[in-house]
Amino acid sequence: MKSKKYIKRVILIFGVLFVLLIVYIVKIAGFDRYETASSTYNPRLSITDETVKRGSILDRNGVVLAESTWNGSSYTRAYPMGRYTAHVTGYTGVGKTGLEAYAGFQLTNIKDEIVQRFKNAISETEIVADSVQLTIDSDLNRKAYELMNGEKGSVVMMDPSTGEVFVMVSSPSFDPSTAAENWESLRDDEDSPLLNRAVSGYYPPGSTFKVITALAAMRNLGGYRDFVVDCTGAADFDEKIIHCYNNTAHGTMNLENALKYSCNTYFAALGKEVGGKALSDTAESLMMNTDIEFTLGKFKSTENLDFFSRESEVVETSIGQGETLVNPLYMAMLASSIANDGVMMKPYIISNKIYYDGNTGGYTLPSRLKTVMSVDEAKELKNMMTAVVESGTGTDAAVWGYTVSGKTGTAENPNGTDHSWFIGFMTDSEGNSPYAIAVVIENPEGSTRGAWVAGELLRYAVNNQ
Amino acid sequence: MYDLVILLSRYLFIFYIIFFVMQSVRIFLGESGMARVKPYLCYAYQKVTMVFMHLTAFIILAYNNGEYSFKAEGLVLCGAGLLFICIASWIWEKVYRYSNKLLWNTIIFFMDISIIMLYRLNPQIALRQAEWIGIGFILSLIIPLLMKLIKKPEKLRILYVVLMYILILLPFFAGREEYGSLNWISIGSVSFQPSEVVKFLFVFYLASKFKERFSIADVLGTGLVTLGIVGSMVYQKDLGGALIFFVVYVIMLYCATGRFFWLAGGFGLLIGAAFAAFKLFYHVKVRMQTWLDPWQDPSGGGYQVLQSVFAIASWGFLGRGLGRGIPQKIPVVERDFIFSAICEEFGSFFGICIIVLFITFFYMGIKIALRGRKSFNVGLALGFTVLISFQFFLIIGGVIKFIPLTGVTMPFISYGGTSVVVSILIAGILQWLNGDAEKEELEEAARLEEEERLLEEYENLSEEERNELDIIMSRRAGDSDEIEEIY
Repeated sequence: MKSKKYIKRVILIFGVLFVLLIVYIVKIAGFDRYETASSTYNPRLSITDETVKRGSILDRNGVVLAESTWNGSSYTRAYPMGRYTAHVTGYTGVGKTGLEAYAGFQLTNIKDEIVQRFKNAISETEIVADSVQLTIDSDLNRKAYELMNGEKGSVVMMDPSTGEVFVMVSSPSFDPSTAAENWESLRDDEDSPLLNRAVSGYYPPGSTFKVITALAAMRNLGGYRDFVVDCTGAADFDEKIIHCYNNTAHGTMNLENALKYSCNTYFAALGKEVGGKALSDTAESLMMNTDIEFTLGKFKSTENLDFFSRESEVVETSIGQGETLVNPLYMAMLASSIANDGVMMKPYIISNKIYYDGNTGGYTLPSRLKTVMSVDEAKELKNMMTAVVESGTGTDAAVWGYTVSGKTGTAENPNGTDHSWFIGFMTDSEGNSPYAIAVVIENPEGSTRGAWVAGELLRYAVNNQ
Repeated sequence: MYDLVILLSRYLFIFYIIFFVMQSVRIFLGESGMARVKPYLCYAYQKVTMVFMHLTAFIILAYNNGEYSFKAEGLVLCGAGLLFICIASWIWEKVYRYSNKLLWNTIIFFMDISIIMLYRLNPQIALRQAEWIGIGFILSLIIPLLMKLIKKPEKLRILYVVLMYILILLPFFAGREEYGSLNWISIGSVSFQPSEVVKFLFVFYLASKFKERFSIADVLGTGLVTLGIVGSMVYQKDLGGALIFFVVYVIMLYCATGRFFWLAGGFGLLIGAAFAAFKLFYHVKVRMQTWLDPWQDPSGGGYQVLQSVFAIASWGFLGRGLGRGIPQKIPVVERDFIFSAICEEFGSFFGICIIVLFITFFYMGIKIALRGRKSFNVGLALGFTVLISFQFFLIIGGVIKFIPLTGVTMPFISYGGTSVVVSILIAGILQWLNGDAEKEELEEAARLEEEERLLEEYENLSEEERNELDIIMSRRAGDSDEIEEIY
């Protein structure tokens, strides 16, 4: 019967279908397992096994940030570094936040479960889930928090060449040990102490955005070195008057000096010359408008210029106002990529796991997110930013014996006094850049608060290594 | 300590299923002559494996942790299960002549997993499932008799079509909505899905058309009948069911005509229809979007499938251990999502082995089709095998988020009266076809032997005797010609 020939082909069709199922199961249960299981929507992370000691969270030097201890009848969670690292560790109790939530899978996973339970059955040793060691330096975190002196804002410091996050501070903070009891008052607090501003706090970038405008000019304006503007403290654009800070008249400005003195009228004119489309393309090449994955949740800094943007929108965006919104972690990554010859590294905060027997494993390897600019572009931006700290608006951030390159920013705040920004990085005499930093202080007294906090923290880091 | 036992039991369960699959593979190798095996030993090993798996699971599940006692209903179900494992296939083999022992073992294994998992999820449901398995078992014993009584089932084509349409249109008048589909009707306290019964009629109808010469008129006729059925199922929002019927039709059309055109055209039409449905029907759109990006609404539309993926992925290949997971977090876990619960507690590797076992089931079904002599039998075996296999693919693919979720049950394993009874009956029909094919093969072998014997006798005759015989034979042939002329 001839149809039997075709029936044999049906075997092939279904064989392929079934094999695809198997391959897909291997994918989700094998390759994607950690990523999927770590989702905060996974209810399996909140299975509480009272007999198991939840993993600890340690900083890069082994300092305990979160630990469970047996009090005779159950385990209680303690946070020795309290509010200094509260947004990193998060809390458990009323739900979970921070790493308690995002690293929940690692913190409840039990290495060699059979061996541990066997030992437990015989000699009542503790059953210990895996601990995580972070890239965070809790001492620097404490220092940064103290420097902020209760003002609202955030500090992020990272290693430009690896993407390790050293400091992640958000202020005001809270005490994770008592977060469950005070949860309602914390939630209703107008200053949002529970919000991790480093990742989820979005601000207008202010003048720090001028670095991006400068890069856009370098890419799109052939004679940008000869582009000069006579600054009179304010300039008229279509529907919009742009003022320099305090209406200071800077005189004749070129790109380097304009960045150094943060001249708004210059950058507004430069942005207009470059155009909305090119400015937007440059920002997008720097990973704006893109979701960036991070252990503590993905984030996206945004700008919305395009070819059809009105002149007023373009000039506002060029100086960091308008509808542009960035978070401190992104700004630290931007500074890092300039320090790292144009390569933007993927930020990470979990360094490795520590198992019950003291062995370590599961190391996070630094990985490149994207090459966002050429080496020459990075070098040129770096030189201009160095001038900012040496003799421009960012002198507060200078560190003796090192070259600090940076950019200050004052972001107009419609609800009160302006926010103070600083982004930058530090380079030693051998040309290595150990730290990149982003600081934002909400409504401070002086406009250079950000640069001052950055400088103090960098000096502290250098002196206490 | 209890935890420790369960953790260790995970390795046992994986050993059981691998051992079971190994025996199946050995039997196939033996049949194809690639290895020398003793099939009866393999069947016996499988039986023993099932007994041990059943005992291991129920010792864990029926045990009251900390009280040093067992739950009574657990022990009863355990005993009933053991009895079923031991005698069901024995009875089946008595009722069905020349049936395939491996196929019986495989479906008993599936049903045992079903009972274990359902008992773990909800003992009450497991008891009811056991009742349904019993009912299915008893009904399946009637099939050989029924097939003997109905001499020419391929002649009842009109009856199939009429019954099919009555059943499929019934929910429009007397139906009610369950699990989002309007394809349930209730008689007294029992509710069932008419589309499950239509499955039989549909395959019988297509098989009756399944023949050597398949004209364009046949394509059109069967196509229209199929279109009506599939259309009303889509209207009842039973997308999975509609898809299964359509695929069965396309595959059978392809095998009957041998034209690749129908296969390609059928799937082209399917994609077109899916696209149109996406544009036209809101609920289809929601399902597609849920599949493409469940993270859009992880606590709403995407909830179900994400919970399923979490269950499968969280504990890796070894699983969490029987009774230690939280499969109840998945809505309707005992029906459509039973596979996720199995993967969560027995491990994804166990789940993969179930798929492998189902591949062996599919292979056995196709082999029955290939052995068939009558085109009707070939069509039946092919139709039922494709139907049940595609249903299996749809639901597994759906719960692992490989394809969009369509609410169909997992054959033999999902909870549900109609589903499990239909699965058993389909297996019964396949077994009957297997027996029929085997019987015909044996008869043919006997006939060939007889012919050979006669030929040998003929050769041994003397010249005169041969001539005499030839004359007699030619006269007989002439007689029969005359008889036909008279008619």
